[in-house]
Amino acid sequence: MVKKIVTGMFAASLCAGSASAAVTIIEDFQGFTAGDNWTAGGWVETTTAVVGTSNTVIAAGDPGNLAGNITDSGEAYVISSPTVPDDSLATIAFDIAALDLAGDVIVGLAVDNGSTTPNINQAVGALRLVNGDLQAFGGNGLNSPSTGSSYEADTQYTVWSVINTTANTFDLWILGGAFATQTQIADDAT
Amino acid sequence: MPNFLVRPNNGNVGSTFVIDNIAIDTSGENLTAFNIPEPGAMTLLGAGLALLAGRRRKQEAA
Repeated sequence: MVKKIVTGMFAASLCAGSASAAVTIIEDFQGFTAGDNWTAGGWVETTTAVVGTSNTVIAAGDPGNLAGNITDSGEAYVISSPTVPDDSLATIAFDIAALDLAGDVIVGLAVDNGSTTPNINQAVGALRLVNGDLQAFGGNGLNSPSTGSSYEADTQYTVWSVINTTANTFDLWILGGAFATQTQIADDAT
Repeated sequence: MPNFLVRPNNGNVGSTFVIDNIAIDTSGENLTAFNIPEPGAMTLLGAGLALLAGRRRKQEAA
């Protein structure tokens, strides 16, 4: 009987792993405190609840989330520098929620140009949230979103970009809110 | 090695948002689904498996 239970748990583990076999959290913000890594327009640690127009986006007392009130333009903030293999597929994912629909922000991977002011226009698979619209953002600029690819305020989404480092293209996916199942908003974007 | 960036595109408008759990998968698979693991989830799974394996060894020894 015990043997069956152990076998069952391994089977469940393998099934889950087939979709995300090598997932590594590269930043969960647990070690951040207010002001870390951010300058103008930066982030605040959320020791109190963050409340949007209709919902509480994150609960009070969770240091694993940061709320960004971005008012500075033109400068990109580096959160992490993950290793992405050449000539392969790599997927970068993150959770994100916007407190309102007024903003315009780009989040995702970009080429490290060695500068202290990294350039998001060298993106290799990023998401742009702008006035309620979801857009894929690559090195060639904006890519047209698919029909209905808008986001809601106060709603958390999981977003992932599958980057083809051979062809230098990326697919962008989203899950959450009105996207009850995973939805592709860009296919082989550049 | 690329950077994971956040860039305000229009500072005159401003953006307020929350981001968490940045993750990467380097399995080479074309992922059409993605579950960001909760920190510690795999540790809990490993502990559960070790507990069950220990019970099994005790049963076999008895």
